[in-house]
Order: sequence, then C-alpha cells, then structure tokens
Amino acid sequence: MSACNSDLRMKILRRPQFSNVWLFGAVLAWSVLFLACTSVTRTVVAPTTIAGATYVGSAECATCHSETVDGFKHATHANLSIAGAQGVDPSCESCHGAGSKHVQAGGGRGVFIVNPGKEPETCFQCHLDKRGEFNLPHAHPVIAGKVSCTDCHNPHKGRAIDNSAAALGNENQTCTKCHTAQAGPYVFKHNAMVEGCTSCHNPHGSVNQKMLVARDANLCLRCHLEHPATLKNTATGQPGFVGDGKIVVGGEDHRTRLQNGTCWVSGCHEAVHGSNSSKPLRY
Amino acid sequence: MNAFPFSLRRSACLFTCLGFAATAGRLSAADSETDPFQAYSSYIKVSGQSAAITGNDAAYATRRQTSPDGSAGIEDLHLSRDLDPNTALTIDGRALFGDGDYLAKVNLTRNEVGSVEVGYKRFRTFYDGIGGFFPHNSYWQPLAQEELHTDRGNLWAEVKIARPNAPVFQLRFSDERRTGEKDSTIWGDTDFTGVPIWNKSALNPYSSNRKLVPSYIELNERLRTYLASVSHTIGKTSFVISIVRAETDNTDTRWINRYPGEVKPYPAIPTSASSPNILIAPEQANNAIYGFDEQSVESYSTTVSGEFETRLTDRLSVFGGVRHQTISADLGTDRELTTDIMTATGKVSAVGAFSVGTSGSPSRPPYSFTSRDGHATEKILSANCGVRVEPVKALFVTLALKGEDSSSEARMQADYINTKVVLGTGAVSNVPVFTNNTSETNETAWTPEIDVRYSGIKNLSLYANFDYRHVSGDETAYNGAVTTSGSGTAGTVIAGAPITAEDNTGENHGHYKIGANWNACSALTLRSELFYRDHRNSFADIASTDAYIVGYRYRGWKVSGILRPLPGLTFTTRYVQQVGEADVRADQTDATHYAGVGYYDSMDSRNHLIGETIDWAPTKQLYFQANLNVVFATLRTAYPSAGGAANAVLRNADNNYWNASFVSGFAVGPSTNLELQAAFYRADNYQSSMVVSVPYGAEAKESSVAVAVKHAFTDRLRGTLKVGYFDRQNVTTGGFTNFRGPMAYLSLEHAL
Repeated sequence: MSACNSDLRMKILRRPQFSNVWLFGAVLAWSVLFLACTSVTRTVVAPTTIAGATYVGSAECATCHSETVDGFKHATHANLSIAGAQGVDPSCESCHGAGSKHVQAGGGRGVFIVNPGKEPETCFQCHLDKRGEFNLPHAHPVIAGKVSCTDCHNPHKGRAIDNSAAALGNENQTCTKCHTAQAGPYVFKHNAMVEGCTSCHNPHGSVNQKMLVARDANLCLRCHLEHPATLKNTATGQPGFVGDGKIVVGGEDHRTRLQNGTCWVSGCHEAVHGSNSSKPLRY
Repeated sequence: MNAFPFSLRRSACLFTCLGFAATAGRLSAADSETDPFQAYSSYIKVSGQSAAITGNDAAYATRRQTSPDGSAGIEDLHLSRDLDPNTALTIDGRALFGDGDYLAKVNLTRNEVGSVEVGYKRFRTFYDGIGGFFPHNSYWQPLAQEELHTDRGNLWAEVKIARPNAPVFQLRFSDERRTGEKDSTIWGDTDFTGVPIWNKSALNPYSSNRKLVPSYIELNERLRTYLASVSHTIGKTSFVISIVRAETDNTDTRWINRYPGEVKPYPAIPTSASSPNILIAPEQANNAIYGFDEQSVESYSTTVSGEFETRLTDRLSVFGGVRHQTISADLGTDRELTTDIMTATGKVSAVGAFSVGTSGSPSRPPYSFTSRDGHATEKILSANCGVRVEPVKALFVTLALKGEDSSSEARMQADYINTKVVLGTGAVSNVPVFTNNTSETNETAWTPEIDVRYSGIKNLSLYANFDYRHVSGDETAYNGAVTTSGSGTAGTVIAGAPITAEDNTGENHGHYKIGANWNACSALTLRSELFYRDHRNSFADIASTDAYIVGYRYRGWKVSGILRPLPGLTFTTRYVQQVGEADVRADQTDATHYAGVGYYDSMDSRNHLIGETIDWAPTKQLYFQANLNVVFATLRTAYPSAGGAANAVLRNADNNYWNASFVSGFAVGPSTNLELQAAFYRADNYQSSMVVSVPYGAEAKESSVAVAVKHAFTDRLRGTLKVGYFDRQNVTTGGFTNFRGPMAYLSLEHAL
C-alpha cells in the first residue's frame, strides 16, 4: 500500500506542472534570500557562535575564573592544547565562544558566552559521533535538554571519565549517582558491573532498547560463550572449527532456550545487575 | 499540458535576476550591525508546543521526550539583580505543564562572604510499552498505548562561606527522588505466536513460545545526601576535606506476566507416542504465571575524604588523597508469582503453585519468596599520591599511584512460598522451604598511571596516557537452592544442593593511548589517537583446578580533521575505528564434545564510525550546517562458527545506522530570522526471517523537517514560531510504534 502511494507520489511530482512548482519555489526562495540580503546587514551565526566577538585568550578568562583555568591544565582536553594557536586549540574559547563581548560586558551568566552545559552542540563540534549517538532512538535525553554532557563529564578538571589513578573516584559512580538501584549492594553481584556499566550499555545512545550494546543474546555471549572454536575437534583431532550446533554457556547447551528470546527474559536470568537470592542471577 | 505558463516562468527568472542585482549592490554597503537576538541578562520565556500525532502517542513521547498532548508554561526564567555593589541575587525557574518539567532556584551571593542557594528541579522521562521480540509470523502482544514516564526530582539547599584568605566551608543537602513506571526488557512468554503446537515433542521442530509479552517496572527511589566540606590554601598547599552521608531508600517493583490467557486442561492432553496427533490450542499450551518481584534497598553510606596538592615550585607539585567509605544496607525481596492450574475440581490460582498428578514428577514452582535478614556491608579504603612535573618547558608529566582495599559481606534468607496442587482432587497445601544466601569478598587493587603531554613543538601537541589496574582478592558464596522431589501425589519441593563458590579472584586492566594534535596550517587541523585496552578477569577455585577466566581486548584509532578552505566554510571530519575480541577459559563439563579446560573465542567486534559536519556561511546573513554520521558495527559470538542447528537460532548483532541533520539560519529582515531544520535516521539490519528463533537487528526510518521564524518585536521582546513534521516507521516493533504528524511550537521571551 505504501509502495503504491510512493509510486503515485513520484508520478505526481514528475508531472510538468509540478516541476514548474518546484522551479517557482526555488526561484522564490532564492529571490527572498537575496532580497533580504539587500536590506539586512547584521550577522546570523550558527548555534554556539557569538556574533561579532573576537578571541581574548585564556589568560583573560583567568582574571575571573582562575580556579577553572588552573584546573584545566590537567584536564583531558588540555591534551589538545597547542601553544600560541589561540582560537583553534581547545582553550576556554574553543568551547565557550570568542570572549571579547563577554569581557566588555563585565561577564555574567549567559552574557555573550556559550554554556555547553545547556548547549550540547558545543561538544558536538568535535565529538561528531556523539551527536549521532544522542540522536538515536534510545539515548540519554541530552538533545531534549533534560540532562547534559557536563552531568557526566567534567571538562575543566581531571579525566573526562573519572577512573584515573590521579582521582579517588571510579567510572561507575558517574552512572550510579543517578541510577542508585543499580549500585546495589547485592549478595551476588554480576561481575560485569565491576567491569563497568559501559560493558553492556552505550550511555550516549544505541539503536537498541535501554541503550544496550546488543539487544540479543550476543550481549551476554561475549563473556559467557564457551564455544569450541579453538578446541580440538574430537572427531578429527584437528584444531579449529567444530560446528556441532551447540551454544554452550556454563557447561550447558543453551541453543533451544535462545529460541524463546534473550538471556535476560522472564524465567531465565532476570537479575542482570545482581541478585540477593540467586547466584546464577535467575531472579 | 503545462499548467505553468512560460510567461510566469520568465517572470520568475526576471525576479531572481533582480534579486541578484539588488543584492550585489547592497552587499558592499554592509555597515555597523546590532544583533536583535543577543542574550538578555534577565528574562522570562514562555512557550507552548503541541502535536497532532497519527499513530502511537506513547512512542512519540518517548522519541521526542515531550507529551503528545502538548505542554505550555514558563520555559526559562532567569533574573539577575545586584542588591548592592557586593550582593547578587539570581533566580532561575521553569514550569512546563504537561511535560512535568519544573525548576525553582534562588541564589544569593555576597562577595567575600559566600552564598546561599535553595532549589527544586524536576523533569520527566517518557517511555513507551515496548517489549519482546517478533516471531516469524509477525505476531505481537498488544502494547501499552498509554505513555509511561518517570519523574526525577531534586530538592537541595547549599550554604557556602568563602571569606578572603580563610577556609571555604560548604554545606549541602539534597533529596532526590525517582518515581513512575517504565518498560522493562524482562519480557514474559506466550504461545499465541501462530506457531503450531503438537502434543508430541517430535512434531515440534522448534519452540512455539516466545518471550514477547511486555513487562513494566514501577520505580520508587530516593537518595538523600548530606555533604560538608572545607577547602583552603596554606602556603603552597591547597586541600579539601569532606564528609558525605548518603541514604538511599529504593523499592522497585517489576510486574511479571507469563503465558497470559493460558491454562493447561484437565485431564491433560495425552502426549505418549501411541496417542493420536493433536494440535494444541495456544490457550491450552501452558499455565499462566503472573505477579510481581519487589526489590528494596535501604542503604546508608558515609564517605570521608581528604585531598591535597602542594606546589613545590612552578614546575613541580605533589598531590595525594585518602578516602574511606562504609556502606550498610538492608536488603529485601518480595517475589510473589501466582500460577493458574486446572484441576478436576476447577481452576486453582495460588502463589508458588506447582502441580502433582497420580504419577510422574511434580512441576517446577515459579520461585516465589519473601526475604528476611537481608543485609550487606561494604568498606572501601582508597588512597592515591602523585607528582606533576614539567621537567622541560612544555613537557607536562603526571605520575600517580592509587591503591584500594575493599571488603564486603552480604546475606539474605529466603522463605520460599510453594503451594502444592493435586490435579486429581484440587487439594492445595503449603510447602514452605527456607534457604540461606551469603557472600563475602575481599579485594586489593593497585593502579599506577603515567600521563605525558608535550606542546613544545610549534603547532603540535603530543600526549600519551597509560594506566594498569591490578586486582587480587577472594570471594566465597553460598546460594541455597530449591528443587523438586518425589513423584505422584507424594511429589513435593525441597531445599536442593546449594551453589557454592570459594575462589581466588584477579583482574588486570590495561589502558593505553597516544595521540597528537597538529595545526598543519591556519586552514587545517589534524588530530589522531591510538588506543588499546586489555582486560582479564579470573575466578579460580581454591580447592580445585576449576577456573573461569574472561579476557577482552579493544584497539582502535580516532582521527579528526578540521579543514577551513574558505572563510566561513569549515569541514569537520571524524573517523573512529574499534576492533575487539574476547575469550573465555572455563571448565567444560560436556566431555563428550570438548574434554578438559580450554580457551574459547567468545567475541569478535568491528566498529567503524564516520562523522562529517559542514559549516558554511556564504554571507553574513546566512549559514548552513550539515551533519552526517555513518556507523558500521557488528558483533559476532557463536554465529556462524557454532554451525548446525545453532545457526538457525543465532545471528550476529549488527548495529549499523546512519543519521543526518541539516540546519540553516537566515536573516530575512532587520529583526527576523528564518531557520530550517531537517533530520533523518535509518537502521537497516533487521532479520525477520528467523523461523526458529527471534529476529535480530533493528530496522527503522525516521525523518523530520521544521521551519522556525524568530522575530524581535522590540529590544526587550522576541518570539519564535516553529512548525514541523515527523514521520517514524519502526519495523523492529512491527509497526506498532509508528507515528507521524505535524507539531507547532511558539515562544515569547521578554527581558526583565
């Protein structure tokens, strides 16, 4: 039905009179555009750009924000700093926009300054891949403005992800400060939680429900598959592919169970983050 | 017939030419400018939005994170006032009714004295009722059409005392809540799949039931945090000492729904080889199981930490810190699953019901229990020290070492609720079973790290970072089990052999990366980073040679280029490649096929991401920005190497997609801007032809367009009108979450 509609639409759009409509529309658009140019002299800029402002350098920022500028020297983003390349290196103004107007206005929140905490486009300028991921169907609502990049990452100090030896925190605390239930504690924890929440979830976005790295059994099999690909084939005695049609986990063939769904569905291994009553994380 | 006369086409061309001519004459006459859309220092912005959605409203709310019924109110309020030369008052607010989005924050700051802040923030996250997979015949359980949502609220108060040359004191209290209902991926099963079910297993080439009944979680979570800290600088040493008390009170309930609308008949349908072939109706294939699983945690943690940094010289500083955390938690579970069982005297519904007949083993109860004496404690002591040094100009080196010692003990006793149902009489009796569950872990971790950065070469910065985390410890676990016993009407449920573990544990995590940033010229910047991660976790039984070891390695590189061939034109390109592999070493009990302990390749992944952004401002009055992301991602485990029947069950997890967006802004008048937006998304890996199993991959198409007009009515009042259209087709959910329709948004912003 939709294919028929699509064909019909294409036929309609290919009719000469509709070609002329497109032509007229394009001509009209360009005409409005150029006529407007004749009457408007001000500058329109893409989001996260500050019209008419020029770069002043991080030293100028330090006069009011000394603590932030000082901490930035050891931040992950400082890795990209290039001496003397003001305006293109990730100093303050690379993210906050050219600061001359902000300085002239005497500072102030939002006064001629970009706040990346409110505008993720600032981060997306370099992290193009994250723009794509946050626009996927299953993502933290950064695009909707309900959470921001800076809720999880501190761009001004330390590692962008808090897991270095130079800091006392760890990566999972970034997640569990909001998702407290997943922090446990549990009588029987899932060791993947120790490895990190990002073992199974892509926090920026995924094509899969719950931002899962995979929405099927492959997610679990990555660490639990006891598949004999590198074992000797007992039939031939040769190493390599056996291909006996089994999907072995925990010493048991799970092939028929996977016909029903995934590993964590009801009746199987429901307690994916940890359990207080079942070591195999059944419930 | 050409409905568009030549004269009109000629007029259009002439119109265009005049436009070009006029533009050429005025472009050079550009003079000083004012921006009618510069940010106000204080303002109130009221807005409203609504959509006329055809299709699944809940899916629209989930995708757009806004109510399909519309919302309106104060989108943003910011008031900044100087009460006197040294005192500033800031008020922020938001109240979007319909979206459940609220903010009220008041901050009073006095220079060289400190600040006081109180606030409340709440926002809503929307969910649809998606759950389950699609069987091959495109059957799908009905979805919850009403929108689900959770609300996150945070009430906080903070006092900061910051006198000149004196310690800075901070006191903060926050009370965060998360309440509401969302969908779960712990799907239930059903036999209403269209797959034929015969009374003899030999006639059923593959499983008839599928886990595709939607499931939901009700959240009721609370976190209260009390923080007190003091920071100061004495001489060349700055330090911060803090104490944090965190109290959680979480009760999350998951609703379980298995085989809804089904109950096995009594007497049972004969299944012996000599019986005639009978096609079983799906409503008679299994017994319905329904109920809830409620998990509660009340935890109290106290964290005391102190950190310092001493700047010995301009090029040398040392730092360190200690943190001690104790956690005490009361754990509780109430899991009550009711089973419907048809008997000679009618249907019996009981929690934890299992059936016994005149012969054979009893059926397995659905694991229902309530807990008692659930408790867990954790102690974590962390300390680190390091040095930051600049041995030569522009070479920055950080050396750090962190040590962690942690231990935990946890226990929970479970009272299993089992109800024995005698099929022949309908008699029921309680069969309680008590089990113990305990665990204990001890771990010691050491993490050395080196971080190097050099920016002494003109237009080039180089950096490297290496850290290696080594953990050694031990764990013991005891998990009481429940099993069936006996046969016939004497069949029952008893405590089974427990699952026990007494292991030495170990972890080795290495992270390595090197990178460079090069300004090749004023028009070209190049960045590149190579990374490698190597992890291995092992669990070795203390009393035997049994072991489970999982290791994985990821390697890849990122490269970015920023090219500015012309003023106003920028190409930003990013490519990320990541290749991963994992292996498992485990004891293989299936000696028939694979004797002994061996290594198994368990994962092979390939990811390629290409991102491109083009920014172009051909004139001062116009800009374009186009974004494109293309991702090729595949994750292989057992397919296809498992071979045989396994290949009919499993496929690789392919997560390819591409999405693109376009935005253009244009000044159409001295006080009016026009903005065009468009976005596209497509995933196309859906494999619906899995006859034996569930489908794999995802397939969806989404597109949206919007036109916005921004107009500054006066220097203090501006407005935005935006109209758009969305279209979403999601094949993965069988089309049940499709939606399309127009939306409109209107806002007015007034300077205060």
